[in-house]
Amino acid sequence: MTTDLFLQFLVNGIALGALYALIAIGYTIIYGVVQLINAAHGEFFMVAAFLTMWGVLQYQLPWYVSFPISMLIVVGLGLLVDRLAYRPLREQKTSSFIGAVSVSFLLQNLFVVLFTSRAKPFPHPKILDEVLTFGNVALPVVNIFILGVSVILFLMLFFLVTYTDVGRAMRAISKDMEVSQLMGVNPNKIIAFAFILSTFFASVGAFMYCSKFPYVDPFTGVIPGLKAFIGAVIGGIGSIPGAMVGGFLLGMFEIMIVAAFPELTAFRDVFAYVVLILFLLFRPGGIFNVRVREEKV
Amino acid sequence: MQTKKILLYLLTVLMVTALVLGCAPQPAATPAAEEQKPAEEQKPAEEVLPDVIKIGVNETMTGWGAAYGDMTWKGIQLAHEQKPEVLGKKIELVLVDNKSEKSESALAAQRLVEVEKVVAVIGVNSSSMSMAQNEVLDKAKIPSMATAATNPLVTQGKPYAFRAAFIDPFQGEAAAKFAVEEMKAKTAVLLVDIALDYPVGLANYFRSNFIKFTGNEKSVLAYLSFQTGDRDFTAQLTQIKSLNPDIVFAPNEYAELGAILQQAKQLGITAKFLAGDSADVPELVQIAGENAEGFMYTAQFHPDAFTNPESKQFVEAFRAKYNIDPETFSVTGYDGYMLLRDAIERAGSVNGDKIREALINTKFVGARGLTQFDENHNAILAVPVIEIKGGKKTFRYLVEPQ
Repeated sequence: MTTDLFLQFLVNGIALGALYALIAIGYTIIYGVVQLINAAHGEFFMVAAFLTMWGVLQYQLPWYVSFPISMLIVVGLGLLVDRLAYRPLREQKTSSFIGAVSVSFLLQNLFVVLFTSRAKPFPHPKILDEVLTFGNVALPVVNIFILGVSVILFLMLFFLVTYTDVGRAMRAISKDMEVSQLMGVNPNKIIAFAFILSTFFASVGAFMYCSKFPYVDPFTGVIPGLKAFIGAVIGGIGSIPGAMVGGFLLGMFEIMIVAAFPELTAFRDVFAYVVLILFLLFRPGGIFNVRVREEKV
Repeated sequence: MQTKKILLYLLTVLMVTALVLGCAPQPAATPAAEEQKPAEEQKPAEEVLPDVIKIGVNETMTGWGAAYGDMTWKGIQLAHEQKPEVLGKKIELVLVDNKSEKSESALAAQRLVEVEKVVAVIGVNSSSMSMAQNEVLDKAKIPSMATAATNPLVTQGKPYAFRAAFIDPFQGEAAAKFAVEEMKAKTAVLLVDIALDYPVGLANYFRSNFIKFTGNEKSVLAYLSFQTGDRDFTAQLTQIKSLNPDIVFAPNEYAELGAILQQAKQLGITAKFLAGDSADVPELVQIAGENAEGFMYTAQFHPDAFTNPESKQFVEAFRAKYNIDPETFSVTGYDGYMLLRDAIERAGSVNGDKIREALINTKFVGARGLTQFDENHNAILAVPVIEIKGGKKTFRYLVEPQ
């Protein structure tokens, strides 16, 4: 493999990895606080992308108006789903997971019924279609944008969780909900805040994902949602740095496996799931070895 | 979920059986029909026709194939509007959605046969869904008219299955011929969604014909694959860039093609892209934007490709009703309905075997000129090649059948 070719694969891998990392964060925030695998995360992602597209296509809004409105709607939707579907089931972990799966199917099929499942082009700023070339290596502007936004958001999140009161409260709830309640933390408020954060990350991720892969339909969230979930588990679900590293490695891995074995390109999903199984078997805590919490009865 | 798994399992068994049977030379097609004849002779043609003749439509109205299903349904509806009656009775269309899933397609066919009691079925536009459907319909001796499904297995070994489209061996040959003779291509790479029957089949026919026309065993440089739902093709395209072929043959779904064209342009790939009739969806150009410029594909139809009056009439009526141009899917839906209706009229009956006999002897002039079926019940039709120029579908070339 020539250096050029390797650099090209690296550029591709970084972009895909950053995208997975960004979506994986959403899973890990929720899991860290309420130990819920939010199976509907991919659907929040889809709703954000879909509504952005719909606003532009149907109401002729520019993308920079349509996207923030969609983001607000998705954040509201996240809070609503938490209030109506997850909070009543909070004590039963299995039931709330099943609830999350139901919400996921509900949203998918609702969008099929409301908007049909025809794939539509995703509107995005023209600048993101530009490409910079360095010799034989092509660097799409959208990749730079993805990496830049991801890094900024990761830093902001890190600051928020480490240095602010709400971040401290999130970590406290994650350690022990009952004791933190005794310390005056209102868990429902903090959990709601976690949902705001998670849906915010889903929306930004959706905008960047669909700017890179420029179409959207009601099933847009399924594959990235699943991949990001694998990323979160590989990194150690519940851990924020874990989700970043896990998501990033998974994206990089998917690209590099194709680089190394071009004949096996269709099997890259298989590799991703094999990695997931191996991690669950031999290192369930992920790369960051998050301790496996004992179920409280 | 459990029942779905069981169904899926059953269906897999069915499909494998179908595959095995499909390979056997000419299964019991003709004997079955002959057995039927004496029984009919005993019962003279005093058949009482129902007040309303029901024709089923099994299409991909939701799921990944929704765009295809929608366009096909538009064509069928226009045909129904123009010719709403057969044998002096009203035709009622019963539309069922198979959600673009193979198992649902078999279930939809079952419902059409057992609950709706249809006399024939139009659909599906997808090869995979058609195969699942035809397993059921053939057992029930209900004639089916697949629309844009082009994989040969759809009708092979299925005495009651027909289709209103040319098949992939010919489409692949036409594409390869065009690539070698018109585009002067010497090398090609294939980029294929291996989760669906259509791209895999078409890519193989293209490959063998491309090798035949170039006379070079090594003219196909690589066969790169992915799976339905993938959106990141940068890894495969980077391989393609380093191989630097003259053309890339990528017979995939339109949305994926849009993403492929966009990413190819971003990576600075100069090879021309060529695809099959699944690319014939207006959204493709919307998704790929300027990146679709110069992209070419083989299709079932283009308004400028056929000059007979029936074709002109169809194009004008379609434009008047829907305000868009007809394409591959609406034309196969339209012709599919017309072919079936014509056969029922000539059969003078709604009996499956009689409709089948009439279909075999079809000589119908549809939107794509004179349409007849070959010995495997596939329509023999010309293949138009379309190029995207200035964001518009432009008719480029017509490959006539031998």
